[in-house]
Amino acid sequence: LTKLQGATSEENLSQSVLMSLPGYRLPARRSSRLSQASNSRNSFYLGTCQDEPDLLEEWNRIAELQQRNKICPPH
Amino acid sequence: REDHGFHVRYRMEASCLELALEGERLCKIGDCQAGVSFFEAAVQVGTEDLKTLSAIYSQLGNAYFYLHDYTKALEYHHHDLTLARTIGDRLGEAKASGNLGNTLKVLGNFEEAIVCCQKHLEISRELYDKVGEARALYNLGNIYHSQGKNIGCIGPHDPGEFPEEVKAALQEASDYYEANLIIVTELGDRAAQGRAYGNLGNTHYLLGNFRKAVMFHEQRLLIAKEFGDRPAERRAYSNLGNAFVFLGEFEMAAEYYKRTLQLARQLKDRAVEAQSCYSLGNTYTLLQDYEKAIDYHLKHLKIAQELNDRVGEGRACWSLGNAYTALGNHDQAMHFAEKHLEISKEVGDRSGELTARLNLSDLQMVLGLSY
Repeated sequence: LTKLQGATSEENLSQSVLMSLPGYRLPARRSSRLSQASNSRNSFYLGTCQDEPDLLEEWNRIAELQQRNKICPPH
Repeated sequence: REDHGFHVRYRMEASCLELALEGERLCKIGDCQAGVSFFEAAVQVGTEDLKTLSAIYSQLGNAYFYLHDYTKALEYHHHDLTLARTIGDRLGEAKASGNLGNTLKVLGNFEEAIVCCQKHLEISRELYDKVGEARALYNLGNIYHSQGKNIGCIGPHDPGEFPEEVKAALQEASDYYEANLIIVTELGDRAAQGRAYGNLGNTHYLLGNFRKAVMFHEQRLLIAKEFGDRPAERRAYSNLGNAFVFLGEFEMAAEYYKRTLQLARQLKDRAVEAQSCYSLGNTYTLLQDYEKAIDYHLKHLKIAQELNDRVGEGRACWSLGNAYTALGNHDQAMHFAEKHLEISKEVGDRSGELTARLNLSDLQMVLGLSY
């Protein structure tokens, strides 16, 4: 039993070592990718997702403040 | 003396406010560069009205954000936050925190961005400010969305095939957008609903939930049409095209990409036009209609050359090489494989260079055998 545990933690260790190596992917994921081979839709992904532009405040904050100050001047 | 002092102070006030107003007017018409100069001058003159000063800091931060000078944007939003806290202005503190959060997001500092936008959310809820709350929720969604994309873009991935941490961030983004959507729907703010639908669609696309992505982008499209917002309409078509590709419904994808292309031409956006042609070329490749694929890839190539986009040109050559190979036109295939090799070497694309070499040696063998 201890031997088995040892083996598992060793596996875990080698797995975590592998995971930290650059360019390593889990084998399961790789095999699923290979099945797509030449008909890959990969080329569609990069840079194709068109997000909504960043939303900033309207350019009227100071003008509004001036309007309010005209009605009720700052003391 | 007293009167003179008041008069001088009054003139100083007026000129600071006047400069700031001019800065704001210039930003409104799209000239943020000139706007910044006026805001900076207003800060130089100074004011004792702290509300005005806070507004100037905030707009100066926004102007620098537009100009992509994020360090400066951070600086002024930070001044605004300090000021709001000092004078105990909770609403001002909330707004400044939100702006700071957005800027930190663009700089890739996601952890601090989340803390700032959470503050925005917390204060908005405390003040029962529904508009502020909705905005904070939307901004939080955007941070998690960017974070997910940022981790996800290391190495090539298909949507839905990301590591767990990416999925967790995207799921969080989706939750915030949904919460935002509930409030803006209550408020009847259609424009904000459109934005939430658009980003929800893309989040689900990245998560691999393509049916949901289609549903949200269809809603986005509807609202874009309501407002006559053609750039938003164009984005929706293109996002719908992408989702249909991954659903395997290539005819639908081609239809939406064609509408993207049409709008890109109307809006005179050459880069988007090129992207649409490229997407159409790839879609017709998936449909195994190589003549049409070649037609669109050639259009893409022409624009890439016009825009001096060497990376795009390389991609077009590679795609054209493949399409001509599929048609058995090995001479043309050879021509484009050679061009692909040349461009890959020029732009330092190692994997492109190796692919081109492999393609060339395959083609040489085919041509050698046929002679």
